[in-house]
Amino acid sequence: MMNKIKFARILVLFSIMFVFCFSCAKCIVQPTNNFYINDYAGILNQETQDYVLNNSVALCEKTGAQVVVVTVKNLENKKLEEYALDLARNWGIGSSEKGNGLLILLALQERKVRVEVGKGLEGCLNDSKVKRIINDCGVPYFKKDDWNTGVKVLYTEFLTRIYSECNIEMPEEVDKVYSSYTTVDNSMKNIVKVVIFVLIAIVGGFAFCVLVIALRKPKDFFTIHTYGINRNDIYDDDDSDDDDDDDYHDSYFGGGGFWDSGSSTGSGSFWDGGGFSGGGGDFFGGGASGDF
Amino acid sequence: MKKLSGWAIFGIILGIFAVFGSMYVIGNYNNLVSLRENVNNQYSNIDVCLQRRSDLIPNLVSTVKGYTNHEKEILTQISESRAKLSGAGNINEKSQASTELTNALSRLLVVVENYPNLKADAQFIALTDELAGTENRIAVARRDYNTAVQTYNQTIKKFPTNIIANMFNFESAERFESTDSAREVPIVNFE
Repeated sequence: MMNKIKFARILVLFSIMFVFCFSCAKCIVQPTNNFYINDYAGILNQETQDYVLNNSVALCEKTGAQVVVVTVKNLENKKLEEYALDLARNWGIGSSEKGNGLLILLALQERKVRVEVGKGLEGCLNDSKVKRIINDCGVPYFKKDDWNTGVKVLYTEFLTRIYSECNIEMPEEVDKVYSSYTTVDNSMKNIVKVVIFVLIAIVGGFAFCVLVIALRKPKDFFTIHTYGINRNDIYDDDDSDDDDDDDYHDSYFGGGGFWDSGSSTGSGSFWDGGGFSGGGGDFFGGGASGDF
Repeated sequence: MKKLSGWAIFGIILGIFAVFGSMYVIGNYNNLVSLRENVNNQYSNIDVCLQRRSDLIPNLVSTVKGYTNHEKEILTQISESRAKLSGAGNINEKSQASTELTNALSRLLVVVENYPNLKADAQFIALTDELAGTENRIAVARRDYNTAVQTYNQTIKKFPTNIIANMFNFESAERFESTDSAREVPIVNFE
């Protein structure tokens, strides 16, 4: 009886540790299911959000470029430029070959706007041009707290420039509504993630406990009845084991991080079932900032 | 099946160890090479950004000259630190010269407040925006470079990789520091 309780305690402990390892990986906001429009500050109406989402989807289909709008309440004490860059890189806006991503970030509390331009778009949108567009198209509206108009005008200006850069006629009106992508509630997805994590944690914890017990009482687990077997037969088995080594070759030549704990990589697209996601675009700090 | 002698078993085990050991060394060596290449790559990114800024400066200086008569001193300073930067050899010199140039430029931007006509000049506005963007790019490149250096340095100092690093002469790389003490708010005298 006591053993069972101990076992359960260990199991719970390891489950918690396991979950914690994953939860505090990143400290910036994560993309919503819509990816192209993420209104964390809660300042944009449905019409603006639909406008951005539909146009961005159309743009991505036609040119491969991705334009993402993010609004946040505050920058969590980070510098605007660093926050925007981390966000753009982590989300992987734009395609990895062309690096044609563009991020429009609005920070409400700091009253700042930043446009981060991917490497592939720097040719047509150099820093001074971006700055001028921000000052002409965004800042006047943002100063009056007219977020919806400001975002729409600013967004449309960049959209037009990217279309003309790619020599593609800009569509007059995008009337397709991609409602199918917004049907899955984001909170539901999170619950599913948590459940999966807990399941993995329980399995992991269980496996660990089994291992611990096995090491403590090796007799119970690894009793091999060798009474009737000739010693030579055992040695013969050893020879045939050599073939199995091939599995390890690739991993030994590649990373070589034998002693390192695995470093975190990727943008977490593993969990993004449905919706949109970034393609891993390159950002090197191109773009401009503005105050309002 | 014949019975294997003790020596044969010993030899087989030794052989397996040798195979795994050499594979481990090769893997680690290749990993170190790619890490070092990454450091070099990031370093050249910094160079590209620094060059980009240096290329902007002559235009900026000539634009400012067209509007001002009394700011010779600061323009000379900018030209001097630009020359110093292009002559800098190692990382330390480079980062120092880069910081000096940044400071001289920000001082110029404060001085410019005295010349409303210059401030309204479209060419000047575009140039200063480009400069601000380039400063940001330099900051990003520096951060990326320092991250690469940190990963590389940590790897070559950790056991047991340090043995391999020593064997093949992997030397630790230098960080590109922004000397924060030099980045004081520029004091401008309007006398």
